[in-house]
Amino acid sequence: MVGRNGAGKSTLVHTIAGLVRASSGRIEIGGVPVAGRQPHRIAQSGVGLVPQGRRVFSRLTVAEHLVLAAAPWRAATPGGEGWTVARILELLPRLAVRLRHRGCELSGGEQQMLAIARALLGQPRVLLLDEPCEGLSPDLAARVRELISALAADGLTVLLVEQQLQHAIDVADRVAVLEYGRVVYDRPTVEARVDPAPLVAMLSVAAAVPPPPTNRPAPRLWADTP
Amino acid sequence: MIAVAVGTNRIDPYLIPALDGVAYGLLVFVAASGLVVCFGVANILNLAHGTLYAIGGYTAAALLDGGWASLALALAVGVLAAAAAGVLLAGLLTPVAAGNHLTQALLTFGVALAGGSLLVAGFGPDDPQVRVPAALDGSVVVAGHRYAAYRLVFIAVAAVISAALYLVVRRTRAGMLVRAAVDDPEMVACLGVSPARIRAGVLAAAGALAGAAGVLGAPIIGPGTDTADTVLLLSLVVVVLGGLGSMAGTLLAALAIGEIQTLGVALLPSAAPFLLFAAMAAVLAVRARGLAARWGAT
Repeated sequence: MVGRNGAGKSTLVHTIAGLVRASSGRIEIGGVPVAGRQPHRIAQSGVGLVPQGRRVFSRLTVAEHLVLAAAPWRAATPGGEGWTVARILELLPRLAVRLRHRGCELSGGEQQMLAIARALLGQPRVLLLDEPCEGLSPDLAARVRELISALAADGLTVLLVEQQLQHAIDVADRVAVLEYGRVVYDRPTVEARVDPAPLVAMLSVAAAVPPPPTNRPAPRLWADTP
Repeated sequence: MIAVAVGTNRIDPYLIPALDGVAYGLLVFVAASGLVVCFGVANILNLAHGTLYAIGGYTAAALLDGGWASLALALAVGVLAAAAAGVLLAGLLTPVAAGNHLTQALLTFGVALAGGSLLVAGFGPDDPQVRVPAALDGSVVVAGHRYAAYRLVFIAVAAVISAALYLVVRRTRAGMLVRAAVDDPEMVACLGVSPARIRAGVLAAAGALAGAAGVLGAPIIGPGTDTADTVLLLSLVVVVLGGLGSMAGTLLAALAIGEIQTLGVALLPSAAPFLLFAAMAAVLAVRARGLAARWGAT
């Protein structure tokens, strides 16, 4: 999912996670409608959230995050035997050496790894990633994208919100563009790889055409913490 | 030698009030920690918190007969009754959104008024006498002064309760949930934990702590028609002074209140009626986020 700032990408993610109430439309997870459910119910039905700004618990240690997030009793993730703390630490060895450090003591990259680990331990069927590479150094961002690709290849459904079109094209099977809360482009990535020109044009600042004003209530963006 | 003697004589009259301040402060800590946790974790302003303490106090007055068994029974009954009242409050508060403090205040204040009337109806309008176990009814000599044995033992027991509370918050999964929910309740919900269950758990724990404080503290802040108001007021001052972020802040604030109410009053008897609130105003003027607010926190 790509789009300019303010296009509604984070609102979409928050709506799926239940943090923002949908004003209309449907949200289904594996055929089960979840729109209007409370966030913990949606999480229990298999939605993992890696929010923008990571939002790790600043005063919990890495180990405590993992203990709190672990939900081995839920259905195993597709393509895997279910996420365990041991498997997470194998996948993200950096967390293993930081187990006793608090969330606020971690670097941005480590916080991002922890936020992904926290979401995975809930055994999600759908992983929502809201700009996971934002604010990371290029090599760390590449490492996060590798991880996302590996998870997707394992059979996990990933909804990735990205600012940078090239990154989205690199990892995704399908690219959609959001503009003023509406999907204006939705194609397999193969097409975008062959001819990215229409996508690039759509995302350029010059192409911005505000929609006619509507009287729908503005969505609440309460979760957009820095 | 003379200087030392003079120094000791100057300190000496204030030793017992200072010790009393520790007992009072620890009592306020155990009583108020539940309110702090409710506010910090579940974002609930519970004005019926003092009533939970009063339940413990009246239970102690009704059951204590001077024996150890009656103390154990009163403790069990007081803790369970106050915890049940906490769960009841959580149920009543379900339709009220977290953070809607005005509605919460109105609802819990109404519950406090009704609860106070029920306690008076059940136990009578007179302040009941509380009989501590006979073995603790005497006094012991502390640094040349006679001091109530019960208070000395209370200090030790309250310290144990405080340490246990610290360990629960630090070491258990429930404690982790509590700390995580103070930080970011939305993300806790996104981990699949029901906010309603957290609310009920926190209010039950707050009730249990207030009930325990009410039973054990009955000889210090005894049951009576204005007990609930006194405890609520002291707890709210703890919230203001200590902030919501840390247990250390709550403990520091409670001990400060204890010393102000005993040592402060002994030092400045004429200022007794407003010393506590003058101290609160001073702290607010200097550090609006409480004594132990974290520096550099965003």
